[in-house]
Amino acid sequence: MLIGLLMLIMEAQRRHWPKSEVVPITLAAFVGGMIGARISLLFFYGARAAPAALNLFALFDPRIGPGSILGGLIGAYIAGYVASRAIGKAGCACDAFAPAIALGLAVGRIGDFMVAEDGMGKATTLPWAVPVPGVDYLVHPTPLYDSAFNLIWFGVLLLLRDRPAMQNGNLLKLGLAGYALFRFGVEFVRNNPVVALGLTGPQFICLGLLAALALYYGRRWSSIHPADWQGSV
Amino acid sequence: MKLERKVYTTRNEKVLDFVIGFVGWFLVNGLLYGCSILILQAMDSGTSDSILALLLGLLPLLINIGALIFFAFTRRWIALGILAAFALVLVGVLLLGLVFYVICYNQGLFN
Repeated sequence: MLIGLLMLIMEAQRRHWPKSEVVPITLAAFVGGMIGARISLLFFYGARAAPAALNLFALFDPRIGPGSILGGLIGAYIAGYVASRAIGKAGCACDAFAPAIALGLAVGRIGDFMVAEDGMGKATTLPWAVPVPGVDYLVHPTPLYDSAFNLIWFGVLLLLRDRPAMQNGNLLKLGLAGYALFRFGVEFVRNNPVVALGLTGPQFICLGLLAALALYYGRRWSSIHPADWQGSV
Repeated sequence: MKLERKVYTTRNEKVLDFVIGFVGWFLVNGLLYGCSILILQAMDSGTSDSILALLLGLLPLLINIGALIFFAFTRRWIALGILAAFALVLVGVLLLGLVFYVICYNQGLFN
């Protein structure tokens, strides 16, 4: 989180994003992310997670983990969007968040791997399988997969960040879409419980996120090129 | 009802609204927490009570989110004060969680 925050500050400075916008949007994204991370536990564990997921005061209980990263990203996005609308920002400076999120996840997932707590994978006999406390078989080091992907994704986002097409929120949307695609795939070797249709809760969140982005770009594209649509009929 | 956005003309107005949001967040949530504890203590355990307990936790969450959005579009500096208070406590909780985890992890490592 600290690495991500540092990257965000550097990127905001590079983009000449004023402090009067950085502070409220970042604060809103942080609070929204924490709430979103906790609420999304409902997708992981169903109704039994409700007392922890929907209780404001449980949010301040340090014995309960913060929750899901995916839910945190969605919560942060919504809260950041509301905050930027509230301060009357024209356009979107939220692209500064995209590389920060990828770098933060790349570093954070190494921590997850070291404590062997979150999202360790299913049993495997692959050469890079690792032992974890509590089981007598080797598993996929899924936090390391996550970390490696995010490190590469961070580099890609850095390369794309100055492209004209990647401004006004497009870089952040690309960043989220890339992570959602990766996470959908890696969930097949993680040990999260299957909710329905052979898919886990995070996979449904990923599908929802990708569908929302596809809908957004579909509507935007059709509003930009209405003549093309009419001409093709 | 049309929401009017307050236009801040002086720094003092901003500081005052920020303090109202910051202190008010602790007061309101402290009150809500106290009330929910009192109500829960007055109840017997049972299925309907657990739903009520869930609602007692959910209501403050909805109030907080609603207040944040309302003030964000009307008195921005109150919203900022609320956000600052919320974020401060959350950072404290994250740090406390880290301390708890280090203690637990060390016990597992050295026992």
